[in-house]
Amino acid sequence: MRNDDIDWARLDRCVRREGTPEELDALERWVNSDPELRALADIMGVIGRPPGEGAFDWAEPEIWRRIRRRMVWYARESQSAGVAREYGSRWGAVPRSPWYRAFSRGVLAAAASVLFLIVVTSTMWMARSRHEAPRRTPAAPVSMREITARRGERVVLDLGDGSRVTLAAESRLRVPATFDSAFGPRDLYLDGAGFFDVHHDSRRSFRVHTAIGIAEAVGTAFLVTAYPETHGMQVVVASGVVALRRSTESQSVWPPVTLRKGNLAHLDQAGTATTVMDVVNVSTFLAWMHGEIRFSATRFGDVLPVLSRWYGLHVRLADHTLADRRISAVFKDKSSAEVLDAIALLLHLRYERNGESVTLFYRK
Amino acid sequence: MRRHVSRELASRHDAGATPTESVLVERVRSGDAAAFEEIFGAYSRHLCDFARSYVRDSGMAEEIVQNLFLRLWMIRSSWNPSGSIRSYLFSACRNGALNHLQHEHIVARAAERSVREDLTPALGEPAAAADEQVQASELAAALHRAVHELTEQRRMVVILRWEHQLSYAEIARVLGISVRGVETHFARAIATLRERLSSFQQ
Repeated sequence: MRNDDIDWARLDRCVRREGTPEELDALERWVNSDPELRALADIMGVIGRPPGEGAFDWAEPEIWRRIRRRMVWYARESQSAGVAREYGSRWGAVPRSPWYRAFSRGVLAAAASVLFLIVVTSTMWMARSRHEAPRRTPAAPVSMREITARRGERVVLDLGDGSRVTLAAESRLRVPATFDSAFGPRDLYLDGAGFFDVHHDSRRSFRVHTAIGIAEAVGTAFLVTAYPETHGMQVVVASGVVALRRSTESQSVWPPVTLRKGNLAHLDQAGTATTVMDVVNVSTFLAWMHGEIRFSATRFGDVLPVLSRWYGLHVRLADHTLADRRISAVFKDKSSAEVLDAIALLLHLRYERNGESVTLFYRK
Repeated sequence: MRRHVSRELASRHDAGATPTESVLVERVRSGDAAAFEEIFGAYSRHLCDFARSYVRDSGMAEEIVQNLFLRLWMIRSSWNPSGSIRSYLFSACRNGALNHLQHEHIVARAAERSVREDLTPALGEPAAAADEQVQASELAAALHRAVHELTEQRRMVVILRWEHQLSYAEIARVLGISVRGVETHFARAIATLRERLSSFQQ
């Protein structure tokens, strides 16, 4: 084939797929009839590539992940089985589209995050005004974004720095506008309980403030629980290092306690006691994030608030002597009815339910 | 085939967004991250290829595309592409690439050296060149080189037309010139290529 004979117009139409199906068929046959034409058409399809270089296998899922981490969104999950997931409406629905799922090859596993559970139970709900007192915060943030997990649900929140927070039921997280900047500390304010999967950034400290104390970490993951019945603040570290201190003004008096993987710390509410112990299995504290409730010889009186919060119910005991009984059980993705039936069976009880109100009685 | 994916979403004549595109744009404006992800899935690869045509560096190409989408998400509530989504994205990609090149130029000048540092290694991987059948023909390779020796505008018109299947109207929007200008550039490009290849010895 002489180069003068190259029909560029035809090649152009072929490469651009311009024409009726019959015309395209004819063009295909024409191009395939000559290997040189075929080669030309093929190179035209990738003509932008730098000469001498091959195709590049772009890591789109990884690029998307980086973009996504900077887009703040959250997903709400109901604790009861059978209820559909609801995605954060403020930032739009976030279901995973098929193409992303297909490419996902454990890229998420590469996230260099240390997990630490800070179980912070605090008198937050009863002493909300105290927590919000300006004197507790060094500099009052100008604007705060607030995300709340209601009773009966948990919320997964992806923050702009790449960190992820899972809020337990009946919890609230406040995020100042300064969080999204590229510099400066990352401060969060927690009521209730939350699991913090911190994206490693050695230049920026990450601090979770509750009414009682402040847990500070750099690239760690931890659970903070601060519910009323916690009577203080509890921190469980899954991996990494967490510095825990009281949120009082005299910081020099109380140096932070350093917690490591497997440590459970409890800051008591009123006094000065800080207990640190080792937990054998940190994952038991994390089970709630996957729809699992665990009780391990737990006092029944302490079980009730957990169940109430989890399902959005108000569970009471008709007889207070029931409160001291102990229960060990694991419930995964169970509805409230299933759990109540199971507990009634275990403890020889019966219950009466009136909407959200549940009362437990001795079975005669 | 990857080329067909973007065509389904884009208008070929760039008279404006098609009805389905308008819906997608509206969804993104209202903060629908799923719609945004859909657009990313359809175009990111092509945009990376296009960025690489400009900056010739894979890592930088990925970063340009990443920043492009981040910026779009940030301004999503006022996003109003006058043409197709595709022409908007390619245009933004080109701007990002040009900004990078300008910056590079300034940096290189300041440092008084011309060595390009690959500070951001690409996340993806180059495919084995041996798999490429397009290398089989010397004529095709000559065409490839000839295109990259065209002047900037002509080279871009050819790339946008052949590799990315944009219409003249879309190309005009991407390059910020008139449709007539695009046609002229293209015609001149073909003339140059024809001349370059006629002297090619098979």
